[in-house]
Amino acid sequence: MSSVASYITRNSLVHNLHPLTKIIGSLWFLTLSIMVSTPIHLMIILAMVIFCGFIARISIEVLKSLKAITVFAIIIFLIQIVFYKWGTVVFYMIPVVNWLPVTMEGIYFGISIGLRMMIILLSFIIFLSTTQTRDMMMVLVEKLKVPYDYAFMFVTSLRFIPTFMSEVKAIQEAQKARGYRLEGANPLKKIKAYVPIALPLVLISLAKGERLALAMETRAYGSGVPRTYLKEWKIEIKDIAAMVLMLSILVLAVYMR
Amino acid sequence: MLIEVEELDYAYEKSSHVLRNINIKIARGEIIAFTGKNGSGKTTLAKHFNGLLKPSSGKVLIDGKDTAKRTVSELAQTVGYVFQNPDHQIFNDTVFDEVAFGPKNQGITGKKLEELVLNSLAAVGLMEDANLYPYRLSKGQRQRLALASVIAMESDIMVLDEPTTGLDYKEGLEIMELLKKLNLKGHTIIFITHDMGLVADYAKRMIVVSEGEIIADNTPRKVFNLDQVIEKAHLKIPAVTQLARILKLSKKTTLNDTELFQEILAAKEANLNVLCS
Repeated sequence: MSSVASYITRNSLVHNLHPLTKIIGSLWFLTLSIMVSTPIHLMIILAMVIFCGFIARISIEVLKSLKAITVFAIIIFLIQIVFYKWGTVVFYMIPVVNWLPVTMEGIYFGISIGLRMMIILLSFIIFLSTTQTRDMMMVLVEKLKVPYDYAFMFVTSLRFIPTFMSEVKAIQEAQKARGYRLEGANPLKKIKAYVPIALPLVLISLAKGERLALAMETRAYGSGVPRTYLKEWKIEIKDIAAMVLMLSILVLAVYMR
Repeated sequence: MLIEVEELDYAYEKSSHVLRNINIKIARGEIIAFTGKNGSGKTTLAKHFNGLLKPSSGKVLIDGKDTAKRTVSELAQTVGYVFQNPDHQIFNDTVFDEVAFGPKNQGITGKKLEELVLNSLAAVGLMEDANLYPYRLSKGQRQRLALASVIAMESDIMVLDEPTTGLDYKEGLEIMELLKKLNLKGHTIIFITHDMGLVADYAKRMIVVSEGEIIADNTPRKVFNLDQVIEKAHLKIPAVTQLARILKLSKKTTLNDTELFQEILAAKEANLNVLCS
């Protein structure tokens, strides 16, 4: 999981698309998954996302993420079917007293929500692992006119996810070596048991943030001079083709509704 | 044998081997230095001793028991591990509580706990700071605090990953003297370091790891003489040793300045004009 949301160096069609096309692509998947609500259609969209991952030649990484996301999707599905009370009852969770009904509609709804989450997460993971940080910055600031400070905050926080993952691992190892165990019967104790991991992480993160700010200031961050970018991207035919394709599918989806 | 490593292979991912065919036997009461360049696999090897990593193939036996079948917290009773960065473990409000965390996990309470904690704090010279907030301490003191928290667990084996890195000379020396004391008390000490001066002064045995394999396992005196090993592992033997070698005083490898002086005196007696040669 430590490689989630970090750039994977490959040479593929997806990598070479304009970053703007890719960000629109992620948002397009998000829009589609919200518009469509039947499990079968959502399945088709998910297949499309996975297909994009294959074109991006990061299939192994995509499948790994998919595995992790599926677990969350199943949890969400289970929660949904428990709390969805309307429609035809299929069976009861606690049969004798007819408590916690599970309905046909609930199951459908749960599957849809789970699939939706998978589509949204996976499409953003593909976007993040095929787009370099500096290109993401460029698109956010130059094309989408996000103020530079905010764009920087967003991109930096993404950049730090893998760092924190390895930090968590190091802290866990250090505490385990002192006989620390993450066990305990009641949930309240379990929350308390996370303190030895969470506290050092917060302190280390604060120190890291402070150091980052210092390093940035010593390199004249925010001096007000207009920024330039190492790589200038141009919208090419493949970008236009991708956008036309996305638009037509979107129109089709609206029409089919 | 306290630690036995048999044909250990380890790979983070299936394709790349980090450790290959490692065989070590370590007896009770030894003090050993693990050396090698960055990324050679010495930390990976050390993490096998307390079960943080399990062998991909082969066996690691601690006190005759296979680490693969035991959890890290079980092994923590026998093997203490001090990490490079003390800030990865400090989370309590006071120095005292920080040291008490380990023994508490072992189920020790009351008087015995207090005694243990105070003794370990005294050992590292942090007795007066017992009620301070740990982040008030300097880096060197935090390093010693981390050491105290492992000492308090009274584990037979203590593994230290670069215990003197980032410390000044005096702080480093204090830690090493402390390790020497613990060793004399019967603890088995394994420390990872790049500082050959420390190895010469404190280790009775040194293991050189290069590209996941052990390329030398002997006394520092013998290893310092193996030019190929020194070259391959990017080690820098102490200046005193180099000087003695240039002066061609004797066939014996010199480890510290005392030995150098003795040899100079011996050479003088033999009427050799050493310093002009």
